[in-house]
Amino acid sequence: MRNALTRAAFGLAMASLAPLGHAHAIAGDRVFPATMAVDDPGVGDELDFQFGHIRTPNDDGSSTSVNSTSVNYAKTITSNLAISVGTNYTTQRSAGDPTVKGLDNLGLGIKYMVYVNPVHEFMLSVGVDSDIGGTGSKAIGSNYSTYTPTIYAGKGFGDLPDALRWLKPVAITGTLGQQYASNSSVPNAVNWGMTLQYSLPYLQSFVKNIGLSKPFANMIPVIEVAMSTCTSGSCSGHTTGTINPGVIWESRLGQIGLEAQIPANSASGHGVGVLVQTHFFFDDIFPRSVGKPIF
Amino acid sequence: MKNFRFFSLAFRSRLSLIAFSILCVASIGQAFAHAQPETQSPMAGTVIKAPTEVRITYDEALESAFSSLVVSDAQGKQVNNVKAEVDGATHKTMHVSLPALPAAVYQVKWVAVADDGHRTQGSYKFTVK
Repeated sequence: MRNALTRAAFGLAMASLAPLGHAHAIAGDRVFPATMAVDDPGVGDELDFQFGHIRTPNDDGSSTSVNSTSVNYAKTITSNLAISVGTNYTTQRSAGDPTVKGLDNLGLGIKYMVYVNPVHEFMLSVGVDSDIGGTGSKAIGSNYSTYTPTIYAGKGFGDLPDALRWLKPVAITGTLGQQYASNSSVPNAVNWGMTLQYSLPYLQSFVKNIGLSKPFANMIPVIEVAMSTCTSGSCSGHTTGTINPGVIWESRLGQIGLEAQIPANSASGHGVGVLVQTHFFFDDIFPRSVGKPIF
Repeated sequence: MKNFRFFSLAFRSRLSLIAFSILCVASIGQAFAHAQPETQSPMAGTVIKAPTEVRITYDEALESAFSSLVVSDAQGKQVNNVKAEVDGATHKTMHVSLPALPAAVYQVKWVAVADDGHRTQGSYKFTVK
């Protein structure tokens, strides 16, 4: 039971490191940044690089240091529809054991922006993320596939009354997805996450210019909560994930992000990890060529 | 992409270098989309003497025919009597002249269409004392 739970927790922790599609998202005055652990609600032409480090628990009480370098590319088919492809190179180090490393399975995704309300800064998208079994190295990638139909939503609070104007730069986003595995012995899971953001560019441009200079005027402090709850098998009901406070620096070309990864419980890891991101907005960098929707 | 893992590390490094070089070279001379304000006068949330104009400079060139800037009073009535103009030299600054404004709260609403057609919008308030 404990072994199965630990393996499931480790698998879910690894899944939380897997690359996700990220998109440039604008709803009215609001620009939702491409958050690192929880996918944003937008659809866009983008290239994302991330490095993550965290320590995950083993059966014997020791821990494994996991480093993951991921790349993900999202391509717009139409302005509302995008496909994405990505993978990550993972290194696992445990005391007394040989280092395990290699490419993880190929990740494929499709995402469709269903609804945007500019006045209320609201955005809703749906999509499916998948990891294709057997496409990664034998040491890292699993031989089964997973499919995760997901709902993505974002809401900015620029529509608050002026009495609450200092809260107008606040935005929240969230995702909810049911993950299915092609191998029936692998437990299914609900992957869920949310972010709380305070946009200093929004504050400066749309609420009150408080005189912040660059680079601070481009920063968005953020807290991301990326979780996974096992829904079948012996681990059913158990939740793992991380709480990630950090900051995103955003520009017209792209963005850079830095977050701590704090395990939400003992099954999620040991110590504080880190996530580092560089992200390029192809729809802004190459608006007339590779960043343009195909149709 | 599926066979990416079979490439040697050296080949992947060269491939990454080539891709990054293409990215850098291709970005030269490209127009950027999604215009965002860099400077605003008056600034958002300020309390000032009546300004003679509203002027916003963006981080990229605008398409003047489709970009707009309107100033309204608290009742939503437009107060600028002339149409906003985009600076003919840089195409990055949009401004509109204002009549003498009495003390009140005013709202600026702008729409910026970059010359590749990407559209952004924004609004903010300032107070005339």
